Amino acid sequence: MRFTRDIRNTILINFAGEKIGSVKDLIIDTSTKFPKVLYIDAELDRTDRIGNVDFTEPAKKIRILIPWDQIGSFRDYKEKKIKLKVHPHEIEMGALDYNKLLVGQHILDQQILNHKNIGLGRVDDVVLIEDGDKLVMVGLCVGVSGILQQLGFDFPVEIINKLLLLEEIKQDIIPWNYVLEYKPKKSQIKLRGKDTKDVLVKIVADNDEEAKKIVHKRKK
Amino acid sequence: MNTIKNFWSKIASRFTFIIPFLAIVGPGIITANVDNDVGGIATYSIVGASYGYQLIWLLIIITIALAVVQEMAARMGVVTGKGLAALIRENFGIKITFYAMMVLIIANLANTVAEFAGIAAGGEIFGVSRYISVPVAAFVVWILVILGSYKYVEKVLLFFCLIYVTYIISGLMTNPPWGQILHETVLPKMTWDTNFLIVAIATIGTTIAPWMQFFQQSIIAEKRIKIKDYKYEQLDTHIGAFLTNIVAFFIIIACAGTLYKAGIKIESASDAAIALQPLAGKYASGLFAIGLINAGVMASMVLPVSTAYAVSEGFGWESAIGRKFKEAPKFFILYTLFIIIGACIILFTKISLIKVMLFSQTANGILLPVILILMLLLCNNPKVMGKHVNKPGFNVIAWVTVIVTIILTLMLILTSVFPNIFT
Repeated sequence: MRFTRDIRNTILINFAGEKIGSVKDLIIDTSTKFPKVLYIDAELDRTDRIGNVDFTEPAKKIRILIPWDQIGSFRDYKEKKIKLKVHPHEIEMGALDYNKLLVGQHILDQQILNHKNIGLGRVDDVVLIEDGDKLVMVGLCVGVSGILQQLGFDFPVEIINKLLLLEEIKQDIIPWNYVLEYKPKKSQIKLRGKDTKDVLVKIVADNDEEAKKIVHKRKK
Repeated sequence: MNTIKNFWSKIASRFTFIIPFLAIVGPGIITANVDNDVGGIATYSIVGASYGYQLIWLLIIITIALAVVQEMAARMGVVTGKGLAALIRENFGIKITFYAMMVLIIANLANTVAEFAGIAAGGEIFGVSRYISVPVAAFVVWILVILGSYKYVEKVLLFFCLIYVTYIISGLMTNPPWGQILHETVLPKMTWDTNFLIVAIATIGTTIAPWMQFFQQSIIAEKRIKIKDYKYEQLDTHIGAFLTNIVAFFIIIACAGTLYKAGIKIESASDAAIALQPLAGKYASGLFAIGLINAGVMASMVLPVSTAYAVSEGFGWESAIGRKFKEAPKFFILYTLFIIIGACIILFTKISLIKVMLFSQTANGILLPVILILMLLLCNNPKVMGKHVNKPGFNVIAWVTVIVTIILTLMLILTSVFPNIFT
C-alpha cells in the first residue's frame, strides 16, 4: 500500500544510481474501472536527449511524462528514490488527454460532496496498491488522520498514542468505486453515499493486508 | 418628440441599472462597514482626539487601498463561485491552509472578544449591565444566523449599516469647521513625532484585515453572483470602501472638534463617547455610544461567520448561512463556539481589552501579508480566473497597495511588540 506522499517529490535515479531528476506527480487513467498509474510526471535536472529528440544545448528542469512500465524499481520509495528501468535516451514520452488526471493537481485537496452536493471534506491523499507490476489507485484519504499525515504530525501523534497506551490511529479511506463523478474544473469529487460514514473504511497505514479491506469494500 | 423619447429612455436605462444593483448590493457594503468595528472606532477616535484633523488625508489612501484589495476578493468570488479559503486549499495545499486557518481563528477570536467588550462598554454608558447586554447581543446574533436565510441575514446587516449614520450626525453636531478640515485634508500639517507615526500606521494597518477578504468572497459565493452581474458587485465594493471611510471621517471630526480642542486623551471608543457628553451634549454622546453598540453587534456576528466560512471551506465542510444545521453542522458549531467563547471571556474574566486588541492586531499582521500575496497570485492565475485575471495596469496598483500595506502592518506589529522601536 502506497500514498502519493511517498512518491511525489522523490528523487528519480538512473540504473547507475545517479540522480537525474525528481517526481512531481502521478498520472492516472480514469477510463479503466480502477485507475492505473500510467505515467510519472518527472522533472529532469539536465538532459541532452529524450527519446529521438536531441537538444542543441542540454535542457534543464524539463518536465516529461515517463510511462510507469519504464520504472524499474519502486522498492526504495521509503528512501524517497524511484529508479528508472531505461536510459533517459530511451524514455518514451507520454501525453495527456481528457481521460487522464494528475493526482496532485486534479484529486488532492479537492472537495468531496455527497449525492446532494453537500460538502463532506477534502481529499488529503490517495491510496495506491501494487497489482503485479502496475500501481492502482483504490481510495481517497480523508479526515483528521489524513490531515495529520500531510502536515507531518503523524509521527509525534503516534508516539504520544503509544505512551498513553491508546489505539493506533487508523486512516479513513473512501474506496474509489464510491466516487460517482469527478469535476476537475470545479475541483469537486461527488460520492454515491449520503455521508462519508456510509462509505468509509478504516485501515492501518503501511499494512498491505489492510489494503484488502478497501478492495473488499469495493467489491461489495 | 425625440427629446422626450430620449429623456424617457435615459430614465429607463437608469432603472435597468438600479434594479439589478439593488439585487446584488450587500457583500461589499456590509464587509466594509463591519471594518468600522469597535477597534476601528477606537482607532479613529484616538486619531481625532490626539491629532485633530491632521490625519484626515490618510482616509483617501485607505479608501483606495480598501477598494483595490476587496475588489480582488469580490472578483474571485464571482468568477470562481468559491470562497478564498477553498481556493487557497485547492491551489496551495493543506499546509499553508492549515497554518493560515489557525492564525485566522486566533486573530478573529481575539477580535470577537473586543467586539463583545465594545457592546459591554456601550451598554454601560446607558446604565445597562454587561451581564444583560452581552448575553442578549450574543443570543440575538446567534439566532439570526442559525435560523435565518442568507437573504434575511444580509438585510439585517444592511439595516445595521444604516445605524452608522449616528456617527455622521454625532460629527455634524460638533459644528465642524469645514474650511479648516478641507485645508488640512488637501495640505496636511505633519507632526513627525513617534506617536504621530504610530497612530498613522495603526490607522492604515487596522483598516485591511484578513477576515474581510475571507468574508466578502464567501458571501459572494453563497449569494451566487454571476459574472454578468460583476459590475454591480464591483460598484457595491467601491461604495462600501467609500462609505466606511465617510463614517471614519465623521468619527475623527467629532473627536477632533471636541476632545482634541479640550486636550482630552482617550484610550478607547467608550472613553470618547463618555468624554463627548460635556463637550458636544448628551445626544452626540448617546449617538456615539449607539454607534459603538451597533458596531459591536454587527462585528460579533460577522467575525464568527467569517471564521466558520473560512475554516469550513479550507477543510471542505459544507458552509452556508442558508443551509440547515444538520446539513452544515461543523459550520454552525464553529460559529456557535466563537460566540460562546467571545461572550464568556468578557463576562467571566478580567482580561485587558488593550492586550486583546494588540494580540489580535499582531495575529492579523502576521496573516495579512500571506493572504494578500496568495490573493495576488490567485488573481493572476488564468487557470483560476480565466480571462478575469488582473490587468497589467491594475496589477501595478494592486502590488503597490499590497506591498505598502504589508510594510505598514509589519511596522504596526513592531510598534505593538516593541513600543519604543521608533523612538
